[in-house]
Amino acid sequence: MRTDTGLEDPIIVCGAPRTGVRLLAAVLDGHPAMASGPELPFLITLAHQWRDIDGTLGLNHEQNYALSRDATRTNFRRCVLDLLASRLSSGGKRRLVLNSFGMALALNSVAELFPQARFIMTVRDPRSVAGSLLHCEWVNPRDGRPLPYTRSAAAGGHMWAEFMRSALPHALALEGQGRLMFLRYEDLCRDSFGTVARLSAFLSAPGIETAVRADSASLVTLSADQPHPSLRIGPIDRASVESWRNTLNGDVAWAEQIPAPLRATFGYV
Amino acid sequence: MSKQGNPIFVGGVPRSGTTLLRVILDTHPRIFCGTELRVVQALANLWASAEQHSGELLQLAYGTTRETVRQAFAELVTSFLAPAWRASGKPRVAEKTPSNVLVFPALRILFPQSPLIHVIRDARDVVASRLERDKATASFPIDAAALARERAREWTSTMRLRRRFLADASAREGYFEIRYEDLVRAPEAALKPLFEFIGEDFDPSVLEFHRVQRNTAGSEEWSSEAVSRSIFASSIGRWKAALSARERDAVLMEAHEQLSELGYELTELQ
Repeated sequence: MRTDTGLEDPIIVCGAPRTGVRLLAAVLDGHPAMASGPELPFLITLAHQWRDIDGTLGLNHEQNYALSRDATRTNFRRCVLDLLASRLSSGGKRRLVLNSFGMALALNSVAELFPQARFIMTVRDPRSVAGSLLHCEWVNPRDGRPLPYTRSAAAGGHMWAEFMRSALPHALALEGQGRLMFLRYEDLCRDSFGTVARLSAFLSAPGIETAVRADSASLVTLSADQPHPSLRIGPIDRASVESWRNTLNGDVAWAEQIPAPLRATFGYV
Repeated sequence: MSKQGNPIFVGGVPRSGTTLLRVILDTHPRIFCGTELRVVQALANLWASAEQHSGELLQLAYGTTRETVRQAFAELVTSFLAPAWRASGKPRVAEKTPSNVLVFPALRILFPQSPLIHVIRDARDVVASRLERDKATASFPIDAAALARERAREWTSTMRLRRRFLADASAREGYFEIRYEDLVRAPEAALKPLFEFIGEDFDPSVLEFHRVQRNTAGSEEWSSEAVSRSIFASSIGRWKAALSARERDAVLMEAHEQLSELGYELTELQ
């Protein structure tokens, strides 16, 4: 199967865990022209692999195999699109939405592999992230033990800070190029319609706001017939913005350990 | 799929004669076999990872069949070969990188019709050849016996993979082994069955590779000097002079069982 070049401008949704990556992917999937699906971690490996081959062997391939580095990049991109093209063939969808929190940590590779892609990076108050992580039953696949940030809010805050410290430099660079938009989870909850309208403008894709109801600005009007459970989400929950106050019982002293500039970048003080 | 769409993959432990076989294949009027691509192992592993961890998700959520996944990665591999192969004007293509042998099981699935060729050489000569290079390029003192054992371990590990691969009877069908020693002692006798296996006539001109080779390996291939002259058999048993007693014992400690299984004559451990 060969895809056409019109599919080469995917939308990539990424961000730290529990910041609304899947929620946003589901919202975008509600757009008549966009198709999302569950996270595919191997795509990150593939992007890194392309970059590694390009860096270490690109010159060799150019000289000995008449293979330009751009052609290699195109071939890797086509491989991804071939893998996902079937999702587009149903229902007249034309644009892929790839969602993966890990892609935020591979932005340089992914952005080079998909030079026409647009990125949305979701961000959320570290206290909410830490509180939300305490509800997760995630274990280390190697030893089956719970991940530390699902047991300790302080560990959750530390994870958030490390994640942002790694992702932010590349994210800010992409934002400067007009290729990335930061989307605050809190804005999506408090002003769903307005936030999604801004998203529509950024993606040059009118109509995303139809996925949320303008009247209540709080319900995602899709999901029941989604092909995969990861896209069957509940309503956008305004209360979740402040839920950390109950979950953490006021124990947020650890948040002071997160460098103030990092928190202040997105207005979390 | 036609023969043309099925690359011939050549692999073996480094210093086993894979470059010699590469230039022989490339000299054949119907086969293009360029310098080492060095991407097949990584791409085959990537496919295996996608298949293992996301195969079901791709099918359920994206409507992508496992056959489509296989085809997408197979096309990615062949996309590296395509421009130079096309330019060669030859109807068939081969890819030789030693590490290909490590992913023969994956290649068997990715390219069900592709011939897989394994070049095998006595571990002692392999280690002697590798140590010679290690010693020449080392910028710090090395424990040659320990390194010999490490190199022998790599050889043994590949032979274990071979054993596991061949345990599946269906895998043997598209798989061919050639011994380096046979290739250099009696090239024509060793190569005729190989060309028959890949469905091509043996052409005596392939033994003139040193006269006609255009791309006699780049600096990336270790054996560029060795394949710029005609086949020589003096490299058989070179370990007898090249390895110290400690190095030889280190190799045999690791490899004696596999050497014996492959029919190589063993000397006593010191």
